[in-house]
Amino acid sequence: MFSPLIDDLISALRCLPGVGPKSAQRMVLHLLEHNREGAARLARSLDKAIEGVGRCQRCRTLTEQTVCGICENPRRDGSVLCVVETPADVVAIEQAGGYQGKYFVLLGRLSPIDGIGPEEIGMDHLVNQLKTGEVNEVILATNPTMEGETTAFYISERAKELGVAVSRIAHGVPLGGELEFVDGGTLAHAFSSRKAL
Amino acid sequence: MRIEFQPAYVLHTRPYRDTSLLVDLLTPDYGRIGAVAKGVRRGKSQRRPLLNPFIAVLVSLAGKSNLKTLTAVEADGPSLRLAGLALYSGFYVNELLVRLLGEQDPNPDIFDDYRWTMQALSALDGGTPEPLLRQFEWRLLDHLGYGISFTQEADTGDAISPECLYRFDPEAGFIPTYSSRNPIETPKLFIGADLLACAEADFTQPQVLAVAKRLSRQMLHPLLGSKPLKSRDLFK
Ligand SMILES: [Zn+2]
Repeated sequence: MFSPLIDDLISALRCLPGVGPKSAQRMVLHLLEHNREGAARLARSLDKAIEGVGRCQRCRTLTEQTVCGICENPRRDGSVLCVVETPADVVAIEQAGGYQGKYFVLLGRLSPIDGIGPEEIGMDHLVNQLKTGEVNEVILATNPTMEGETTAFYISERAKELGVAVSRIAHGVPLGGELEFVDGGTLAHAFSSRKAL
Repeated sequence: MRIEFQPAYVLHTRPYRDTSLLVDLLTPDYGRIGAVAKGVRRGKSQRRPLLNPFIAVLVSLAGKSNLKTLTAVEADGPSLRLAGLALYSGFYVNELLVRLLGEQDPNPDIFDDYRWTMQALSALDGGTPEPLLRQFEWRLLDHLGYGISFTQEADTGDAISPECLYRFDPEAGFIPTYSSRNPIETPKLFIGADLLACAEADFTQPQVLAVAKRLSRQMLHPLLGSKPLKSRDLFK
């Protein structure tokens, strides 16, 4: 319907999550009609980020540095390592505040049917870090899905072999929620991981 | 086609679009069947926790194409929890089914075996899951038409004798051989007594479990081809 360059841009924008043909078209027309300066800036930023951003050598999160800001920060406690599935989980925990240790980002979770085994989630890399003896405690913050549980169990077995203490973040009834509306699995889990007061 | 309150287990899920999930289900009346669960990855979806492997659910599906739309899901009975090795085993069984079952090929027996195996795995409590896995594999192969008799010789149909040595041919079954009486010299052969124990699912002798595992691998190999099961990596 549009000229080739415009059509190209519309279909390129559709790689974004949640962007269908209609909204892609709206974005493109907006950029070309009203905000060419913004568009140019977007193009330059994208280019630079794709060129520059890789993975932190220590925790595997996304960064353009060899070692990310959190790993490098001398005020963070390197004896505690929180294992998460994605960089977005790091951001969520940082925003919640209170955690002073470091992270390890799996960039996925064990899911054999998807071809994701221990190697694909960087277990060698994690085990090597635990072998240095710097880490005293591993906190497993993988998702409460079955794949996340399996991943947590797998890592906890490896960590215990190396004499590192392991804990799993609590999952259960959401704050502000009502028991009646909590599903059976969550409720059963909340019971099995209850703690003494 | 409308499918209402069909018993099911989720074999696998994959994110789909922004907030939806592609769900691979095992059911008695429709076999393996794929469905889209719309909007369940949004924050507080009540359905998302039920759309996990190893949970008995009832599903309602609609749609004309092969890929259905999930219209309802509810828990079918109290929730069982797999933990530790049982969890690895559950993923192993699921991977096996996804690899070996075609879509929408109904087989209520496979579903019953699956349900029985999941219940037994959840009650495992630290024991070894291997006897359960071997029995599931053998019954699955039976249902798929690849069953092998552990009590009768190939060709002749004579009874397997406890003292005799057998060679295994995945297409035919057990063929008696008279090469060597020493199993250490002939690691590829099977002793009749072990096969009969497998047939009885009697795994009290430790070597029977090892034999059973070797046997399963050889039976599955022609079906799985050169791509091994990824979940085996978990057990290493
Ligand atoms: Zn880092």
